[in-house]
Amino acid sequence: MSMVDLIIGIISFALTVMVFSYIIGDNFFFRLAVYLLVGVSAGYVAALLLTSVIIPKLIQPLLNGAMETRLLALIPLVLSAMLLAMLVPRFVRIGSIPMAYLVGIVAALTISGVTMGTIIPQMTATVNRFDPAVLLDGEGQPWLKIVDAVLVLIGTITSLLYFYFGTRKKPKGENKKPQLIEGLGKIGQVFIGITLGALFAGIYSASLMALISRVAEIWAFFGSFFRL
Amino acid sequence: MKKVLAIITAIGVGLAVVVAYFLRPLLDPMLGLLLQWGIILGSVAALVGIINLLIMHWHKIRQKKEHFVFSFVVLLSFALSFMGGIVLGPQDGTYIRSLAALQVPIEVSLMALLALTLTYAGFQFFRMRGWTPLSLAFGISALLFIILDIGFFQALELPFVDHIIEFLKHLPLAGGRGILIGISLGAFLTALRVLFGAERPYGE
Amino acid sequence: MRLGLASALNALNAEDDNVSGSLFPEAEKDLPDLLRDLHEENSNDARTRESSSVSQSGGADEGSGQNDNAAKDEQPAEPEAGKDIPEWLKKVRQRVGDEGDAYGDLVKKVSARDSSLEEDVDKELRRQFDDWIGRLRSDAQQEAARDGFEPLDEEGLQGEVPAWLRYLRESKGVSPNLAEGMDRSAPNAGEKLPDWLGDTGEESQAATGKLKAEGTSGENEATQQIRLRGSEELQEHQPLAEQEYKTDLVTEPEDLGAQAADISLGLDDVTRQMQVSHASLGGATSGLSSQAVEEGFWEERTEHPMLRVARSQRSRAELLKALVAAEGKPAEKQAAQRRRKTWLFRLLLALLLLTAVIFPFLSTSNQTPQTGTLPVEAQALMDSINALESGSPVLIVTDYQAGFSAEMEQVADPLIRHLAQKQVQMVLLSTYPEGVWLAERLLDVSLTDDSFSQVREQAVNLGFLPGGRIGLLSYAVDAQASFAEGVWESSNLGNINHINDFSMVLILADTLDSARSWLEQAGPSLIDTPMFMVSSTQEAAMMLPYLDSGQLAGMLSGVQDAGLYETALGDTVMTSTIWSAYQAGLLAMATLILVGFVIGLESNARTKQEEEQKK
Repeated sequence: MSMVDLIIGIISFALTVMVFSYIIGDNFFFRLAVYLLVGVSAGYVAALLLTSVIIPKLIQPLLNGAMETRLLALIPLVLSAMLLAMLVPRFVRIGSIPMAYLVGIVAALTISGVTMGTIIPQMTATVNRFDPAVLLDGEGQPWLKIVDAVLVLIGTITSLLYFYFGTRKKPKGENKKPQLIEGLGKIGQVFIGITLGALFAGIYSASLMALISRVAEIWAFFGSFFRL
Repeated sequence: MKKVLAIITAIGVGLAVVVAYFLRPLLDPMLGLLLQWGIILGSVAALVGIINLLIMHWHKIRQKKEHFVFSFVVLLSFALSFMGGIVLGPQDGTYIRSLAALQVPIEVSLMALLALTLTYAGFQFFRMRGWTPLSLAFGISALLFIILDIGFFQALELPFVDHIIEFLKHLPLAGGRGILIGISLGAFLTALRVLFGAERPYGE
Repeated sequence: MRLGLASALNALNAEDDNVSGSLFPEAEKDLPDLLRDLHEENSNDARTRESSSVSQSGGADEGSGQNDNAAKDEQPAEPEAGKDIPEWLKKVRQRVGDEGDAYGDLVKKVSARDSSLEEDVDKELRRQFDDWIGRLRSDAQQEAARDGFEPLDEEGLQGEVPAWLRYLRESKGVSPNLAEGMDRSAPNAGEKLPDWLGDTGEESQAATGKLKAEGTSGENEATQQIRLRGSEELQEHQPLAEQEYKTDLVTEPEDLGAQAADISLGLDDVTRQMQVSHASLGGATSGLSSQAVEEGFWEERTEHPMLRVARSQRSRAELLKALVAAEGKPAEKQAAQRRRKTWLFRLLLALLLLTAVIFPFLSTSNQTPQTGTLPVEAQALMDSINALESGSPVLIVTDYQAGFSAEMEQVADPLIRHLAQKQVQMVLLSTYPEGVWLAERLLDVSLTDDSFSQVREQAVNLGFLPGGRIGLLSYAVDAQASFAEGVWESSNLGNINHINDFSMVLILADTLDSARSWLEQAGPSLIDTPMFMVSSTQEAAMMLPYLDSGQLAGMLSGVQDAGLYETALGDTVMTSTIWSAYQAGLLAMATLILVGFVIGLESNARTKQEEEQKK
């Protein structure tokens, strides 16, 4: 084991123990580790953004680019300056225009993305399960496929209905959801519960793997000293 | 005036991008330009966030607020990391190795802590959440998928067991589709409200 | 008053010749007696007015017609005086009344005398009410000082009237009554006007009538008009809670002090209850009092800040008061004992899981990795990679955080080795800042074999794709422009100009958000290029819909699928120790969930039993 690997191994072990100390409660060492992570990550991201985006895409075109390029680069330069002005409390409102630019773009991407990327394909897929060509072709019994398709359709609709929170105004008494929607929503709860349970199992598996990898790394580190 | 300008900017840019997207590749140059400006602004906004974080920690040190020693740690580690990235370059081998030596153990250990927390949550789940259809379906599904992940039933290599396992593993499809469509519809409506000027989250 | 009469009489005496020749018939010669009678009558009226409560002063109407009317109206109140009125006097009055323009100097001077009498009365009334309002103001200032409100000065008052009071005045014309302190039994009408304010015209006439009945017959029509106008003006201002209060004020000025004390007490009660409201309440109280001094009696009384508070308003105010009081206070801490028990239990569970995970490392079993059938989606991925030709460009996106690197490296390891076996051109990219070096780390971990060295060297790391979703769409629109100048050119990517030029796109994503971003922004641009996903198990369930819709051609998720993929490839790189530890951890969790389920059932049954026993 080289000196560098040894140092890295010691640091890695120390940091792991510092984070695991949270089991006994919030303490100085845990906070130290977390704040260290924040500082290191922020420094790296700042350096990366400066070297990969700001300097090559904004500064260099202004300094070295053609006239047309320079003129075009003025607009993001002005907007960036307005964003930076937000650091001064007096000029916070100036930053609303570049923020509006960003919000507008993200909103546009959301509209185009979810329409073409999720809503239409998912709805099409739900309907396509009933396509006779799909039912008759391929492996498996057609009746099983129909049952499967009906189950998916019911599950999708009832899951959506679970998130319906409109109520009917009654002259007296509480406002309640329409009974049909409430009933279907309860069925949707089951489907949502199944999905969330699978997600919970997935999160646990991922975190378990993280725990195992830490244990394995520490085991390997100490094993190299004691030949375990 | 600034308010009106901001609203006009958001709506104008948003509509331009939507129109250019659906008329591709006709308006690709304009779309590409608007997106490039957005990338630059997004990066500057991230930098502003980082600078704000540093200013906040600096104020904590100056005012000697509680736990200000951790602010020292943040500022010092930021300075070292930033200078290393500028001097050596973000892609430098030594710089990346040093970075990984610090970041990976801490982040992976935090994920590992999550496993310990989820263990406690799993034990307490039925006691705390009651017996609603949602909680019952959740608990049983979690138990089922954890057992399936163990791999015991797959190891039996029985044909009908494989079909049952495949069917069970695809059960979350219906609920997942409903959740995805719901999330997408919500995001779509919120974005429409922004483009109509009804929603103005840009701090006016 | 007497001086004015004397001067009038002197003036009249001086003009005897002129007057007697022009106005009165020769037979009517007892002019001094006439004047004496008139003087006595009016003196009686003045004395009566002094002893009565005062109505609002208004402009005094002048005119002999009104005087005559007043004189006519007054006649029934003094039957004895009416008997002594000489016949000639009656004729004079009648003649004056018939001849509208026969004002003459005598009548003018009498009118002037009446006006001066009215002014004197008004001044006296004003003085009395000034005293009363001054007492109220001082009380309110004392209360404000005690409660910590800063009273407003008179100049600042106009702009400091609370918005709620302004709104109420504008919308209703009156403000809610101050009923809480003075009369708790009064209905909480909120903004509803008291009954006696329902029809101000009738009320004012009734009040006028009442005044007349109470012995104000001596007053002339001008004074009555003042009272009438004052009553009408009452409806524009703050009414009092009780009709009796109003009547008492009008009839018994000596009771003003007691009424003011009642108002003060009521104000005490309300301001204590409304302590959470801002200082303008107390300020308004004092400021309004001073304003009332400026504007006269009716305005003073009606603008008095007697606030009627509905029960719902009071409860909301108390809630706000409690919230404000609780602000800044530390949250109640749990009992120390319960915290210790929870802490110990959590530590115990953590130790249990750690033991389950560490145990396989201590044992020396040689358990082989899992066996079974590869899932359909993983099989599709394997088939696609098998179909790749040597040198085919494959885009590998490493969109995961360092915390998930343990799992993602474990899952992606067989895939990367499979791709390396096919001698493909790997192009790495990430929208995460740390994904840049995580990609290098992935290749270093997976391609340790010497046979993969060439592939490792030829792998191109395009680095960081900034902008998140914006960057993804930009990459789909114009791949080269998304990177800094020179990055694409130096990568030796040959004919790859667009995302469609890749043979395969492999996304390594740890969260649903990053996976969806690629599927929604870049996915629609892919025509012939299949997209595959290597996902963390935490979001595998949410990837199933995209798999079902055909947006994803295949998927590999979880350590188990990775192990089966390895087995299908004929490799066994993943150590059995790690797999055993993984199984042990899952078994521990499954056991705990089952135990928790049983305990939950048991405690639920016990709770129901206890409830039934109580019943």
